[in-house]
Amino acid sequence: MVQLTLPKNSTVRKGKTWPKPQGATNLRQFRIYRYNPEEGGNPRWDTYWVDMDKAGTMILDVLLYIKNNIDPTLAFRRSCREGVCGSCAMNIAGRNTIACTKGFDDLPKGVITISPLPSQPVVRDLIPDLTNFYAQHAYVQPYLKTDTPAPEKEWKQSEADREELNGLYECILCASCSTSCPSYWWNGDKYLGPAALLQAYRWLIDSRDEATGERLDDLEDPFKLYRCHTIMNCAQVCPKGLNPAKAIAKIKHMMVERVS
Amino acid sequence: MKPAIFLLVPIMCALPVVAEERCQYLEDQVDQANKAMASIFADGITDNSAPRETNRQIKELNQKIKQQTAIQLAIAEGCDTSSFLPNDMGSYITPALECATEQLKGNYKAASCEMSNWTRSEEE
Repeated sequence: MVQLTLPKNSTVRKGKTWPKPQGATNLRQFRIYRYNPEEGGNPRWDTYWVDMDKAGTMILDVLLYIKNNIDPTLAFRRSCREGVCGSCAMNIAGRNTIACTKGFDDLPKGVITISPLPSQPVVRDLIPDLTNFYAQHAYVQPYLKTDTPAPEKEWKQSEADREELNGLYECILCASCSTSCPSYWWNGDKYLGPAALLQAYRWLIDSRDEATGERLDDLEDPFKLYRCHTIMNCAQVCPKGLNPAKAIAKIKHMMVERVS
Repeated sequence: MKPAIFLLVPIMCALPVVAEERCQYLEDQVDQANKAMASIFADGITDNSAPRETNRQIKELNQKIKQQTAIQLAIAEGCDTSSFLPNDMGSYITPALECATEQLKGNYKAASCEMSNWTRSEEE
């Protein structure tokens, strides 16, 4: 039977409101999604007031400030803090992005909501379970596949061929794009999603790769590739400014060209 | 029976002509799609923003699918498809750019935008 509402234990309830810091003049309100499956119960929105004069300039700075000074139980992933590792991807003010490169000047006025990446199971608080996402990335075999024996030094590539990879290789696998895609929400188990398909195209057009036909065969399916309807949420949210929708369109071109 | 035979004979005589026309029609469809792809490409010269660029990719893809369908129909009709030139927008880039340039000047009904007048530029 179709379930049109969330199960009772999935409804996000109002949580704790932490006290305002004393003597602060530059305060900002944050509503943060909290959930601990080990505790049981429903997810909740906790409210925090942060002194922006002390918190730093990026959203990750605020989260660290909250963890260090207000509530040490808040859980989130982070590592490089400079937009390279993709660990701190989350939904900030309604848009998926990475917290470490998202500054306050980019955000709307008023309360800022922070929640985990949508559509993925939550491990705890702002930490999504990306097992399926990584499995899909592995499915596209993101590495060089060749039949000819490896050269003595390295596989060579012309400058023009190398240029083809620009806008593709920069992906940091933060999953912001895939988890912003409604097709991926509904068919995430069968549709590979923008991130995996961007990687698929990155290897499909690599002049050194010799498994193009095999790679296209692996994508030839009503779901894996063709659930992209070019709504472009992926390109809009990508923190690295990449355009997975274009890469997906290019794979579709390759599919048509090899048939005709 | 007799009237039926009288009807069948002229139809059978006309069949090769009809088939030839169909083959020509399908070849024209492939060519028109080449022109459309050139036009889509030329539209992008001045705007390569992500949404428009992706939209152009999809438009171009649709033209390729149209070509593929035309070729499959031609094969089913028994046409000789060796003269069909799919995925050959390069031959129409020059007139497509002329048209796009006119349109940038606001001249949307320029003579250079009439695709039926576009001629294939031969390779040197």
